[in-house]
Amino acid sequence: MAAASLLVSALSKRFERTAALSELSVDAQRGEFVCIVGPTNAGKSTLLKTIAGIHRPDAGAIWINGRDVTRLPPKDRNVSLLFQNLALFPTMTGFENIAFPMRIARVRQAEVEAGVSEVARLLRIEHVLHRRPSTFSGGEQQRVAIGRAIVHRADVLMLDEPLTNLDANIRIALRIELKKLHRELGQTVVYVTHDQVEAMSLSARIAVLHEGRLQQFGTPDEVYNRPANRFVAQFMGSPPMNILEVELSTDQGAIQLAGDGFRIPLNRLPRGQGFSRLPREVAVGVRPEAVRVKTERSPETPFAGEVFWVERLGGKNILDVRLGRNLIKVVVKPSHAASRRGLAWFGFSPEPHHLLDRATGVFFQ
Amino acid sequence: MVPRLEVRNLRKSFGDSTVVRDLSLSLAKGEFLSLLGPSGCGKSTTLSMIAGFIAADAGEVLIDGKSVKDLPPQRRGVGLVFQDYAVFSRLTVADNLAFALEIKRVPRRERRRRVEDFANLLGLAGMLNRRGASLSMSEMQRVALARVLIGEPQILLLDEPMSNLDALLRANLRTELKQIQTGLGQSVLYVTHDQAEALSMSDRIAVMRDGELLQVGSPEEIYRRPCSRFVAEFIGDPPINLIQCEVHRDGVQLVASTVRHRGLLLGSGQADSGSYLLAVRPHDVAVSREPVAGSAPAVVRFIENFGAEHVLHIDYGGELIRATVAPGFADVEEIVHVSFGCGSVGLIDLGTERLIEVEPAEDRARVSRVQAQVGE
Amino acid sequence: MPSTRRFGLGWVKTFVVLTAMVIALFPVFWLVSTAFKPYNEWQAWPPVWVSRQPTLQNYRIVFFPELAQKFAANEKGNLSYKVSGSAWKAFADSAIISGFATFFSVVFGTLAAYSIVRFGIGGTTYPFQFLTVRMFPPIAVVVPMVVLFSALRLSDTLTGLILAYTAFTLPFSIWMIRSFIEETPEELEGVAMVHGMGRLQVFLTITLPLVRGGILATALFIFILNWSEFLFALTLGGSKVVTVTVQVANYVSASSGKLYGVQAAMGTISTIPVLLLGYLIQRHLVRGLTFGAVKR
Repeated sequence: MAAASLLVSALSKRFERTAALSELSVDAQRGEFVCIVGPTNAGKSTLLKTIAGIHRPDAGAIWINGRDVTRLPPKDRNVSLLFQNLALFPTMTGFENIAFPMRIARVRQAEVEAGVSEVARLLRIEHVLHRRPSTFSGGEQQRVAIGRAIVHRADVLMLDEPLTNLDANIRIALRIELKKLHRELGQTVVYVTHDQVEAMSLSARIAVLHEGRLQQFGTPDEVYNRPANRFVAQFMGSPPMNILEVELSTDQGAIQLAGDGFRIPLNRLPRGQGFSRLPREVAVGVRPEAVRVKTERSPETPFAGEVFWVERLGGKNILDVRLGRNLIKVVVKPSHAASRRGLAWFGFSPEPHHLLDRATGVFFQ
Repeated sequence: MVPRLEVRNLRKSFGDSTVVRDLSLSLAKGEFLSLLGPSGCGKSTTLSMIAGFIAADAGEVLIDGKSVKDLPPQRRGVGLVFQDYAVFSRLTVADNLAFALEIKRVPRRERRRRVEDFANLLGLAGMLNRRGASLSMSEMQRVALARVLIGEPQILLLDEPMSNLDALLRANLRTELKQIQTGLGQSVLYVTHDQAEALSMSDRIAVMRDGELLQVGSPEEIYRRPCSRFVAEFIGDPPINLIQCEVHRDGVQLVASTVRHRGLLLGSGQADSGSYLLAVRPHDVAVSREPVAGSAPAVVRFIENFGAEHVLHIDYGGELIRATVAPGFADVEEIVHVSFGCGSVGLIDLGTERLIEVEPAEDRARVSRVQAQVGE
Repeated sequence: MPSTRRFGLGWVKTFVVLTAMVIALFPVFWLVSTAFKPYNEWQAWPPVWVSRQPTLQNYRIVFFPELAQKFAANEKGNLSYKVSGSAWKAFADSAIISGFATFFSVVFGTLAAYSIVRFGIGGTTYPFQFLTVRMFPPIAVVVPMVVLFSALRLSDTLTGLILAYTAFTLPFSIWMIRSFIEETPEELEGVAMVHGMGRLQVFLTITLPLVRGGILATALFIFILNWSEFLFALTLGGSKVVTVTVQVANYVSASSGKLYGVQAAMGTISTIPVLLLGYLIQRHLVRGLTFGAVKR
């Protein structure tokens, strides 16, 4: 555990009657970029504020660089937090906003100037240093706030939805800038977002939160390819993973999945699961891009389905398909011949680890 | 046929700054048109002028061929859905729907009939007695839409209705909105800064910048044949690659040289020899693990993982270019081989920033090129 | 855009605004006008709107009480005149009481409001609870107050009135300042704390400057309340401690009734400190100091 920059163990926090965080454990290695992702009100911001010491946890512990900081006030934790609403000081110039952490630390003026100008150069905000926040554009506000957060050189840099509310294009540009910045600075980053695209593309590991509980903590590939439960499967990925109800059966040793409008073989059972221990009524997850589509019937595409809606996104098309009683989403290239309403043929080969319990929504691993 | 909405030479200034300059566009009956542009490009101002909330300095707004200059907003036949939907949380769904009809003093029986009709149409029939506060976001959108649609507006105006919502929810709501619009044949003018929303829902997109209309066309046209550098960069996620290049005209064929490529055959187009920007969508950058004809080796600097696909940021002679690949294709700091497919690029004039279309090379040229490669 | 349709509405608006202004400003006009009227015009019928023989006599009586005796001799009625002290003392007493009471009220109010907003002291209903102090009329508490104050030997002292005023304006202070603090983003404090400031330092250097305008506005409001208070001043003070309001009420003669002109003069003068104060802090009253602090 020596390398863990941040260790949060079994953290719980209640507000009045609602549990904001329930026995939540995450960690971040030194220099790691960890994303906390989840829908609105999942408890993401509460987690950050608790790590920063602004909220006091009801139970659990927080360790930063091998030090138990659970009872310490914010100022003694050496963390940096970019708030969702940025919280720039309105009466200070861009320069003084960025210099703020150094002013508190009573850094010498020459060093302050050097520090601010370096950060300003990195973030390309030299032109706003002498102005007040009320004159900044959305992107400039964002950058100044990021500048103030990184100039601190804290043990853990925490960012709360730093790109939300920006124009889509500025968001895409800043996203890759953040990634570059992290590589240059090598700081430990905990990044909160509701956007799974940001989480997937930025982080080394992702913690998926839902209703204050940790659903899964793993690398983007793990979370995407081996989701722990139905929530993770459908939250990570746009369009979300298709979940189809199927019945499990064997035919002379071959395992079959039978759903409405299709019947597919499963090459093996999920690891560590015996056929007799599995329920008959299960469900199977299929990623929209893992569905094969053709305009003709073929051995790879044996099931007939009706394309009833086509959403064109430029780089890809999303087909809404009626397969028996199931509604599924399928992603195809924009030039794909099946990108029109009407009959098409489909096929898919689910992975054993994409089998899940219909009742609990948990994948059999 | 008279268009549902026609805007002619609309102009608006606030103080010294001109927000909308000479804007003309039309909306056909049943059409879904998006006004797309960055914050402050004048798209919301345009919408407000059409709705009648602010007066234009010059120009005309015609609805069904008649000027609405002297009509207040409530008599223009437009319906406006507000950001965050503004559903009355204390009223029931039924009362929310009946709201506009009550103001218009529609008789009670008629009111009830229309509320039921629209509730059925928008899938709200089962929740007429629930209060606004108890609705989910998707239900709120439908209530907000139904409340406006029940007044049977000529044009439905939407001003960034989804900008404050979670990403996942947005993706669901836009399909839902488009299905409702198609089902009703409703004419819609939709204002957004999100290119994905515009591409996925619109019949046509009007791209705006600094108060000017840059291009109007179908999503496909806007994506495939953007008229200028700005439109090319604004549309598409991940964004388009722009690569410095020298173009030589060889008969009808254009051949480009970049910092890493020599003699890239582009196709034919209206360009003279000179310096241009080569515009290539990340999907059209061909990346392979082994060298192929016409490829150049380059190092992967970053990878953006989107689950279903990865976007490689490749060091192309000092500039980073983006290429979309299958997951697990390459690792950071790995060397890959990059080439650009013929027929999937455009050229941007460095001076005018206009896009020059490049048609795919003709068969003859392609054949001779392949032969040349065989000969090597 | 201003079409003919709106033109008519414009006149209606102007008319309504003018009427409201006339109604609001008439008493002020009458006060100033009466202050310059000689004795015989005070209660004349038909009323004298603006005196033809304006006099400073009323002001002289306010500041030089001995002149009242001469005045009485000149007029034919017997103007035996109750007030012996000059207005200077009344102004001094009022200034001390109102000033200190306002200061204490705002200081305690700010501290209390901050605790309520940021730490949830007292629970969610607390702000309503302390407002109930102001819900019953002051006259209802005057009698027990008088008894209590005499037992504590606070009757007719400056300290006593300062205490009473502070107690009775504190609910307003807390209530008003609370809303100003609620408007300042909590995250600004969070940022400062995360970067190494303690709570007290955050309060003094981050929050206080942001709500300064609000606190000054509250102070002005509380000062006006204190300055114009009459009931407590009369019952808890009145002989050794005389406030401006009590002094005005004291300009009464046994034979001729109220000295309206003198009262008007005193009233006119007593508005000057309030106007001055308002003017001085006017530039601090500008709202919107938090503009640009957070994205919305």
